[in-house]
Amino acid sequence: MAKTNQYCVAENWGKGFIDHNESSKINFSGLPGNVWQVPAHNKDANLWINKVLGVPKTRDEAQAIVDAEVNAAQAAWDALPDAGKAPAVEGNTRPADITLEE
Amino acid sequence: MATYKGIQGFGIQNVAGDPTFNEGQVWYNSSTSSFKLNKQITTGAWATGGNLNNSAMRLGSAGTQTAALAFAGQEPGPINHTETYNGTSWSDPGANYPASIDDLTGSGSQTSALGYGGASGATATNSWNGSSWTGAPALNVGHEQFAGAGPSNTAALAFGGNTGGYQSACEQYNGSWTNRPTMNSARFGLGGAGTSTLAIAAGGGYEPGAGSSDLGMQTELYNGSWTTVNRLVSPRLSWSIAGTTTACLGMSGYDSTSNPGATTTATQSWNGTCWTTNPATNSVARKYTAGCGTSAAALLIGGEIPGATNATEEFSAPANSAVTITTS
Repeated sequence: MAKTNQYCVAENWGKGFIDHNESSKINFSGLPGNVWQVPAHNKDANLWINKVLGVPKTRDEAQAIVDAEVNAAQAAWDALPDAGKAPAVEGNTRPADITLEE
Repeated sequence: MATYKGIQGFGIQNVAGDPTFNEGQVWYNSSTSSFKLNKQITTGAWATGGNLNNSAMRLGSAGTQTAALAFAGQEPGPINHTETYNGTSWSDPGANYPASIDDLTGSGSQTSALGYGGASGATATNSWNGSSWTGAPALNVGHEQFAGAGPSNTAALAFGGNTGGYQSACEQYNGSWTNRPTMNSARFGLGGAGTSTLAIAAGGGYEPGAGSSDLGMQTELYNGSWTTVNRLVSPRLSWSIAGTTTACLGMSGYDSTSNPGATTTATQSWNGTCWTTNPATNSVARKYTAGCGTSAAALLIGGEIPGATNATEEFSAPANSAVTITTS
């Protein structure tokens, strides 16, 4: 099955990293670990990856980077005292796993 | 041969230049000898803004997309940084917020703002004059994970929260805080925008068993008292909204108020009557953000993705421009 997404690692430098024109053409998904998901087989997405000097990653490689970040956040949450989890800070839920799409 | 006048019933204006016309209008620019059309050339879209110098979530903010103020928050412990934004980059004005505190709220402008409330039921209010913070009269009751609205350091409205129970309390500031009519439902992690006299509250978490499961989608408008109006397209919690009671933008946050876990990049727009899904999506799903600006030019600041982030994003509404009509 043809992949629908591609992944790269690129550090968001701030203003101009993604501009309005790019955002209107490309469906971006920024993920933990400076992982970016953009459409595969897409000229505009390829141009953007080149612009930001993105390092291409396979889905599995990207998943491993995201998992490491999420696992660290989950461990930090687990280490909170019970009082820090609920109910005084309602909404402060354990970080959820993120599964990347092919 | 058909003519423009024959089709439209009127001729094309001859104008020396590109005046302000409505979208879709056509004119002849005698200066450039060209036919012109006022066309929408962009859809509303997000772009990355300048990165904060310090990552922060659960922070306070004020101002506009090109002149913003961000202060305090959590990263991962409570922090007291103050930063100012010029539309491109964030700077340290050299005046920390008076306390290291999170879950507070801010309102006003970059040069005249208030920070109030915060974690552990804080009541402290601090006034920003563009260069320094000074203490101001405290809230009547503690508010945390709540919302606020207001134009300056002399006028604000604080509402909702989660301090030993979900809150419907509302207070108005005009040099001191005065209790005002309560919201119709007690909620925390809601979005708030507007002024101290005309404000909008949207989304948020609610007391289990408090009533309709739609409360997390509830919108209320304040004009001296609270009125429940059309609900959100889908629930939001720990999100930010920017604008007024007649035009508002809702940004990111949890996409559910029951057992939240997933965050969203979806944007919702309020037109004074109803919410719709805005086709533009921001790039990084996040919660516990701060937001400021208008529905046409909003700024989404920091948040948790997980872990606090220093990233900001800027929303710009569709723009029209005069384009030259060619035969090709």
